[in-house]
Amino acid sequence: MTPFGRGIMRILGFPLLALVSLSFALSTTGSKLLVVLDPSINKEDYSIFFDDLIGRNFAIDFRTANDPHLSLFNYGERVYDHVILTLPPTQKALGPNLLARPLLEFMSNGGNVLVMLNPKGHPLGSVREFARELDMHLPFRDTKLVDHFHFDAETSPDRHDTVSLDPATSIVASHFLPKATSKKIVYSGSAFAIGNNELLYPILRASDTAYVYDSAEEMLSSDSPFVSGTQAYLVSGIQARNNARAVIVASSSMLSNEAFSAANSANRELAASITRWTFQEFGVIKLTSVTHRLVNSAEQNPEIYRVKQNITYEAEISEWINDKWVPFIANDVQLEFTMLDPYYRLTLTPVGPKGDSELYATTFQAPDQHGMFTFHLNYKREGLSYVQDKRTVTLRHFGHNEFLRSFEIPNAYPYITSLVAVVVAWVIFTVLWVFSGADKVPEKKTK
Amino acid sequence: MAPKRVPRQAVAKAGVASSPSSQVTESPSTSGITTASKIPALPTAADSSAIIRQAWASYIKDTPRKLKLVDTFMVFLVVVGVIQFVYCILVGNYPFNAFLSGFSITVGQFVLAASLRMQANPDNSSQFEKVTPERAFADFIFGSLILHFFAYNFIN
Repeated sequence: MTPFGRGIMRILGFPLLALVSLSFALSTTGSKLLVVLDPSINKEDYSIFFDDLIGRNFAIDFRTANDPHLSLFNYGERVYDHVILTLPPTQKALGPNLLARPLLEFMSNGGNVLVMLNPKGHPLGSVREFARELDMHLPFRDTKLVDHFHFDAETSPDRHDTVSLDPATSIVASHFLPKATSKKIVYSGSAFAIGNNELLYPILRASDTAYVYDSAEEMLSSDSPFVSGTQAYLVSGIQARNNARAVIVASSSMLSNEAFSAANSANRELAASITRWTFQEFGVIKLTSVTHRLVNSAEQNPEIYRVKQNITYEAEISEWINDKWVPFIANDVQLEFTMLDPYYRLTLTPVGPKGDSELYATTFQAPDQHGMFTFHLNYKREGLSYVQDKRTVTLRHFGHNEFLRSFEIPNAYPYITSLVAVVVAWVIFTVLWVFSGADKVPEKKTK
Repeated sequence: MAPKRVPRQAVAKAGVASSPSSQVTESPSTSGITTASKIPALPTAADSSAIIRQAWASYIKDTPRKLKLVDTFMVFLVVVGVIQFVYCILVGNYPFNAFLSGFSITVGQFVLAASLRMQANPDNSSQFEKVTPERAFADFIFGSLILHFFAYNFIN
């Protein structure tokens, strides 16, 4: 942390929760952060937020949207690792480098995006399109979230549009705030709706007595609000299949100094958690190595196995906690042994730490079916990076000399006995035939 | 087997008047059988156990010793084959090649023994002019060896 940041915190005298004290968390993606600040937003109003980020070793580049030298890409490579976008209050373009398509390409390249909607404002067409790609549906202009039961009486005594949210019911993502906190989240702005995409990771939603109304037309009640109740989301994230993360915060005022310094406000810790998740500082796991082999064999990852052989599969997974990779322990990591359909679906048991990863292993017998099989490790959990690994091996038949011999099969003993008995009887018969004398010819034969 | 008895036909031809089911004892009728020296008593159809006893007695008495030896061998083979077959039905045919090998050695050996019996029977020598009993026995041994070789390999 910089001395300036430390000084600010001492002066303002906020207690540091455990989450904020982990402010030396590093991002696994990188530390180059671009903040696109709209000129309508005063940077000083967000000084605590940005200082917290600087304290976590981000190199922040503050630009405005119409900066001609602003570009997310340079010769096809990402220039920045993360982007924070703040939006103007009116319908003004963000410039050609921040349209939906460049932002999506930025995410495809592994960059993370945090979008803060303007509390007064009108979500731009390009931002609305970007959000629609993420299956989040932004509200119309001049709408506000209102809650007549949980509002902040000082700032909005009559309109009730500064709401106060209880973390226990409003935060749907785990590990974002300690559940047992008595603080509230202060929020003023609009709310958006999210879709059913399985990659979405919703974080903060409104309480069930809230609704969104159109403030321009001064209608305090509405027949069909844009969203209402717990379907109104204030912060929602999405983790793409390449593990890039994007989060939309429905109002940047939630992250302002005013919100942080309100009485009994948990906004600062929530902001830290949001940025830590978005910028890949927590909830990041990776698969370090995968090996499969015959049990008690030294050769690793052979390409051919035989049916009904015993195979051991081992995977190592680590998690990024407190700036280093540590073993990741879970009891629901599964392996599928698949040929078109999974023949086996086995839970990998955590054996113990190996280096900075946890070793998961299982042993099974290959099925009695030949073909091309795949070891498919597919671990996708909410909030954690997706881990997927596929390895294809051949399962061959028994060789002609690999079948069990008859004398090893107890079921075949009668047949072996009969073989021996017949041969012995034949030998006796032959001997007796040869050494029996000439027949007595029966008398009646001549008739 | 010994040929059918000539006197029985003669008696049947002659004894038209007498009912065939009655016990015909004794004296030949005058119409013509003078060569039969002794006519054994004929059993009735209802007397089936007597028939069986009669057949068995005549078998024991009239069959040459060598043929009885072959017959014994063949009975042994049948018993062993039946045992294996019943076992396979009850327990299942898991090592199927073993079942086939064990069963086919009994069946094949039975067939070879039957053909030996046919060819080595002195009563049949008129039908087997080119094959002497010794030649038949040599063929039997040769065939048996090939059969044993096959069965031993097939049982794995």
